[in-house]
Amino acid sequence: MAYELAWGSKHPGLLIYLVDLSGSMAWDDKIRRVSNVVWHVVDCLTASCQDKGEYKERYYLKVIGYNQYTYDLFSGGVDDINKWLDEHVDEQFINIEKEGKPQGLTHMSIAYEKAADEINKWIAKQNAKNILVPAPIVINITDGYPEEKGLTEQQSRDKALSAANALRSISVPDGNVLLFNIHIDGIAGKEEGMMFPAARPSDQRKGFLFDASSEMTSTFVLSAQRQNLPATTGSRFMVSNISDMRVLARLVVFGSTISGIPNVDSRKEIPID
Amino acid sequence: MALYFKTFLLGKDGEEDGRQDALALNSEKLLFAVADGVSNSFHPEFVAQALCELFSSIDPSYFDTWDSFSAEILLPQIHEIWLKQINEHLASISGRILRHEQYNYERWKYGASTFCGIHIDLNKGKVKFVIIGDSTLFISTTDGKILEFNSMTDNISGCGTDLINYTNTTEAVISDGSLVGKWFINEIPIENVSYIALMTDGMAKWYQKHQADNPNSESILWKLQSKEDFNNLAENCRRDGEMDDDLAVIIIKLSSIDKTPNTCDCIINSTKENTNIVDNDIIISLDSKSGETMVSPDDNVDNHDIVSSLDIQIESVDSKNIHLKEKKDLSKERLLDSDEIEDHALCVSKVEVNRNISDINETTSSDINETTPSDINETTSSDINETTSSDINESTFENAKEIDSSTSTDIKSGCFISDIIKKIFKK
Repeated sequence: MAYELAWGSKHPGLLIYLVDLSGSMAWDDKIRRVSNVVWHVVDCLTASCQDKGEYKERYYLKVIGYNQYTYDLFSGGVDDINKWLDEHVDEQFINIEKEGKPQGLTHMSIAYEKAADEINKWIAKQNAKNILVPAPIVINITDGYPEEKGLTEQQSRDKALSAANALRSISVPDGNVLLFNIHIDGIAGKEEGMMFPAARPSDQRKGFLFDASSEMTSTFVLSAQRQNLPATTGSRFMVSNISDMRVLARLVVFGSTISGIPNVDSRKEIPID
Repeated sequence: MALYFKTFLLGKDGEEDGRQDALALNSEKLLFAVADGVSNSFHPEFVAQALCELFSSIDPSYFDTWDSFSAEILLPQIHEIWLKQINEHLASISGRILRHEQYNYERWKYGASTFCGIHIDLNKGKVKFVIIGDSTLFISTTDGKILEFNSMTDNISGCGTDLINYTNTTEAVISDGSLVGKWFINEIPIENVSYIALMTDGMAKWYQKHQADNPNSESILWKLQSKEDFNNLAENCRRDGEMDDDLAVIIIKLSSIDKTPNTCDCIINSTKENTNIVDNDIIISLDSKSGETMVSPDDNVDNHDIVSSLDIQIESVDSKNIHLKEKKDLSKERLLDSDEIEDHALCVSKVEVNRNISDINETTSSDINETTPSDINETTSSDINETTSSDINESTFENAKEIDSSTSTDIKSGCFISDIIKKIFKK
């Protein structure tokens, strides 16, 4: 059965955040708020790795920024994460004045390609050590849609979709890579939000996000529903026009912990050991 | 009825305290329990430990009214203990760890644990049990059947059929004083029961699998002689992917006594009613049906420098019997039937007579109840079972020769109790 292998110190998970660093992310303070959300989400995830005061290496995190280029904003396991959190007491995970400074266009295809490259390297490394690999998770946070210099909007979308499909086709015994696309707005009410659609939206841009996102299994749908997220059979890991950062944080946590979300009534779901 | 038991406890990363698993027992009341903290909850080990410790001190009569006892007494106490320990824990940490623990507290809100507890009621000839969750009770019978009980299924298996399906979901006791699911309360006659085993699910899954493959696999666990043996078994199984969890096991072996003890039999009893405080000048008197020479009850005993291979010492003496025990305070750990006493007596070459019998009597049942799982694990019946029948045979006749050379003068001046014992049992 797919997606059964929980993150654990004997088989750590791989989590990749793709963060849009195009110029528009500087508007409405979006990049700062996203950086703050990432800090809190990672802090929360790492809290779960603590067992009687000792942190277990249960997952590996990569944060990749992208515009026309990709930027390695963070790479490391739980110990590295803790050091990073301690150093960034301003609760900003990304240095938005330097390598995380928003500028340029949205070459989403190279972000997906970079994620695919990192995942393939990770799988090869774990396989060489005979370590089982939980299905890697990629979460793309963007305020826009594919836009590449010299390409039309359609061509940019097609290129990005091709890269997204290639990323989603990477497979380990536990399952294919899960790709979750989160589109954010800077201002509430700009456009109606959409969460986990089960049918392809007619809008071209939203349709692209739908096509580029992994489909939720019945287990994931149940997990989402238990957290009062509006998923149904056939839903995709895609949301758009999210402006509330608390909702963004919930969504990122949901996506990041999809391989083990317990319920307070003690029904152990797939356990994180 | 004689009972022997062994306990094993091991965390998934080798923790001797069992990490989130717990066990406890009360050998006087014959209460035994294991518990398994639910991973995706907040400090489940507090719930598991509290359940085991509270259970091991209860009045066994509560089994008859378990649901109301649980609702009115047990679960509220669990809530109180867990909350107290959480507050103490949070007060003891700071910085990032405190922040993370607060996240975890907000996220999980509660601790949770499964539980399996039994009472062996010898008076009524029953094994009574209460279970919630996937901690499991296995009952082996003398006719080769294995019964398997936990609260996660309505099936009661026998001979490997209708096996319980261990999944990632479980019923449990919650730290807010509630339950997910309900108690499975039942009892079975003790007649024909040969082994009883309580296990948390990490061990139960392995045992169930091996039981299906090998009906005698309880003997695999019973043959383990030490904590190291168990650790090695766990390590091998973990390497092979057969185990991946904390492990807690209590195995109880039952043996019925067919022979009616006569007045010359010696009995080791875990209760205190047969213990007589004897004066410092030990007076040994025997009543041997064979009519052999008796030691005068007026004789005093000197020169006590003898130690048996099993360190048996006299616990008390009355006009009919010599009550023996091992120096390791055997009474805390097991009952021996009269056949066992005979075997031990035969391998005794010399016995140290303890003038200060009152020292022995200082052992109280409260000592037993304070025993923590780690303490229990240091003393298993394997320590006792080191004596095999071959050991007995090695020493018997040689010692008999030695003893036979003793004279009444020697008996007056020294003490070779073994010849007296030999005479009692006519060996």
